Amino acid sequence: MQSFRHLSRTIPKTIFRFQSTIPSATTTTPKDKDLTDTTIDPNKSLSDLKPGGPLSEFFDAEENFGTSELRPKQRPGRSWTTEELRLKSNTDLHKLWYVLLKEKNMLLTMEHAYKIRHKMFPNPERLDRVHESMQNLEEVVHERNDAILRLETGDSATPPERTVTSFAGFTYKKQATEHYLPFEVTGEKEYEVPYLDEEPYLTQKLWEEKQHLKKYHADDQKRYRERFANDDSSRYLRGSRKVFNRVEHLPK
Amino acid sequence: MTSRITRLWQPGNPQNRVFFPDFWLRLVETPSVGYNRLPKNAAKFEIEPKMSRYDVQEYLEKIYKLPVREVRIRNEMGEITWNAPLDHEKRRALWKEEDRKFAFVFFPKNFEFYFPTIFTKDEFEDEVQKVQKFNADDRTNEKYVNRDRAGIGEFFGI
Repeated sequence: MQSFRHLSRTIPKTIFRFQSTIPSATTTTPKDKDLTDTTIDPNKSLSDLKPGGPLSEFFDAEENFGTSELRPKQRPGRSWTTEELRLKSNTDLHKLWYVLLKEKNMLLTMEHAYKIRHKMFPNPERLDRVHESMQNLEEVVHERNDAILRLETGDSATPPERTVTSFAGFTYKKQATEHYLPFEVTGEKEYEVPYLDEEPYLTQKLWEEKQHLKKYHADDQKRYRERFANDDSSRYLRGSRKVFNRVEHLPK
Repeated sequence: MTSRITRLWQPGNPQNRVFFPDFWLRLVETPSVGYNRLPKNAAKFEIEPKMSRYDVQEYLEKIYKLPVREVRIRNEMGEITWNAPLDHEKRRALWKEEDRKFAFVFFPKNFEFYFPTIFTKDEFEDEVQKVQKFNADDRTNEKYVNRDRAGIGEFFGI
């Protein structure tokens, strides 16, 4: 009993209180249970303290909120290069992919928040760098996959391409798709360069003629401009020499 | 690899797996009042149009470890700018925004999510005010003023 009284006398009057434990006007002396409000609830995790709570992974660090440019410590480095990524194991690359994906989602969320308020998103190059890193990662994984497939099956890992002809007669490359039944059974086959009808044939002829003329005119203009760019018009100056008797008199 | 190559599945094949998904999601704000207000155990995402509701659920459960109860999808067509918007017969489209897909994700009842306040201070306005203050100063005599006076005469403001 005596020890408790001793405790109440040594406690200073100004102590930090949490909002939930502001003492009312009636209580004057701080009691022990008012002070011990710093209990940590085991059900609440650290993520509740971060902005966005359980969805905090979609948001940037709090110090970057509302800034027009990130502070030096928060600024990003450069993107991952293919040489660096080739040194990593497959599990590391797999993990890195998800890290980059989460970062990308976070940056997209933040960018949108700035965009709708017509503000400038700080360091937008972060998105490009993440995108570049992901592209390089895909390239490295594709290389490894390609090597294994070639060894085991003989086929490449790049998806096969087919040439497709549009209604206007233009041919373009398209990635081949899988089908449940072969074309002999279904009777439909898209990948072919067919014999063109009158309209697409004429369209192609006229298109090629137009492209040819465009190129011809552009080259013509270029030659005309080059004639004056390379021409040294100093010999047309009024006071310049017209007759050269010595080597020193030649124009420089 | 998801949005790039689709593979067919037939009975007997192993589960179609995606090791490097390139689907993106962005969290979108919703109004805190009105009929568009979401409950605190819900969030609105803008998702890549190629995603389905099951893709969104898998994505959030596996990658972000969130307890997703339900996902509802809404497609919104992008706005079109017409050359003559009122002439419905002969108008021509000049520009169309991209179509967007939104996912309303519902979490269990004890889940609490509040969109954080990102913009408290206006840094841009502060900088503008700084520049204005700088421009307001009179700098006519800056070049001629003698600053090596060791604090003499500073009280007079020159």
